[in-house]
Amino acid sequence: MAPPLIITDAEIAELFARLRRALDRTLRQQSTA
Amino acid sequence: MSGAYAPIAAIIMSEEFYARLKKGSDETGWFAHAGTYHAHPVAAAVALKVLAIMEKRNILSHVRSILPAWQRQLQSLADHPLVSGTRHFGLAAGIELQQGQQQAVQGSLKVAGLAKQVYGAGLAEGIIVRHSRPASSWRRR
Repeated sequence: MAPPLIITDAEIAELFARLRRALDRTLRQQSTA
Repeated sequence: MSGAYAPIAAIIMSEEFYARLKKGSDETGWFAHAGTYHAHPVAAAVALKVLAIMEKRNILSHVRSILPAWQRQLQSLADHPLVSGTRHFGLAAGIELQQGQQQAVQGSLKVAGLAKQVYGAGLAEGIIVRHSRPASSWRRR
């Protein structure tokens, strides 16, 4: 089955939410380093 | 071009540039330039098929329709303490990182280490964040 070629607005929002969480996670790692 | 189904590369140039290149090649010999992956028949067939699917499914139009949402989401990261800037070309986005306030004071973590940390954190969140050299290093070259 071919992967989807169409990304939706909701998926874009989810992608950037994950990216923000990754940045937050990095910030927390820096704080505890 | 192939949707990453096959390794293939291409060069796009203007008609004017091509005409000058051809003139020079005719007069003084070939402009000998080649991509690592070019002219392979299987990869070329894959690329043609992918481009046909993109045209059939009108992907470019879809990209244009979701671009505003993409831009909004990208720009929304600008307030994050680790983000010093964002930019994009179509759906390819770049995020410039900066040290968090605490680390900036301590000066104990270089930007390359920061990108590595964000990469690892991205994996933990189920996404792959590719990193490259700071834009300033590109400008110096």
